[in-house]
Amino acid sequence: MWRDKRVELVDAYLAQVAVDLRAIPSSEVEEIVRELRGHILERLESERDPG
Amino acid sequence: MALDRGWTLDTLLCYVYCMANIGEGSIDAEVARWETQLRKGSLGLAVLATLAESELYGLEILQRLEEAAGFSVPEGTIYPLLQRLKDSGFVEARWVDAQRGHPRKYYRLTGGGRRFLQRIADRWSEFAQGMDCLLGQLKKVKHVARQAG
Repeated sequence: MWRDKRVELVDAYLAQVAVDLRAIPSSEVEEIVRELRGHILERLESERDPG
Repeated sequence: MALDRGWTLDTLLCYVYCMANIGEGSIDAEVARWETQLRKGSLGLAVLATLAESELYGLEILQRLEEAAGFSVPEGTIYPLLQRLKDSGFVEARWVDAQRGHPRKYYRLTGGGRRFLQRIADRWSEFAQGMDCLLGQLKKVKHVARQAG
């Protein structure tokens, strides 16, 4: 449950990031957002489940 | 009163006043600014060095910098830097779909990146050696001053 809520928040944040990056070609934005999403979610998971 | 270097008495008094008013707080702030600049200037070398042995993804690079060198790098700094290194042709990237978890973008050195790393690592060593010599002299001066005092 916690995860769904956090993922929702992350995705909402990243949607805003994508809007802010609209000057960049969409394929690049897609890649940046994908990389950031993986980074943030992995960080969140490691904080919740250290080691 | 004779003054060297064309200093007027006013300039000298102002200098003495300013030096006397540099508190520890402003020195701390200045040290922090200096350190930020130093880290900023050397982060590219550090990131390339983490990739010397194997390909890594962004979060792993940050963890390696922290574990191996005690460098705490703001997370927002690493991706623009990797993008710049990629644009310069020093690293290349590929997506790997993890069995579990999230897809990861792995970065690795190109041939040009490896040569670039070697050259800037050599420059760094020369620079550090020179700086060590200077700082060694500084230690001697402090030692003599301590003995004299």
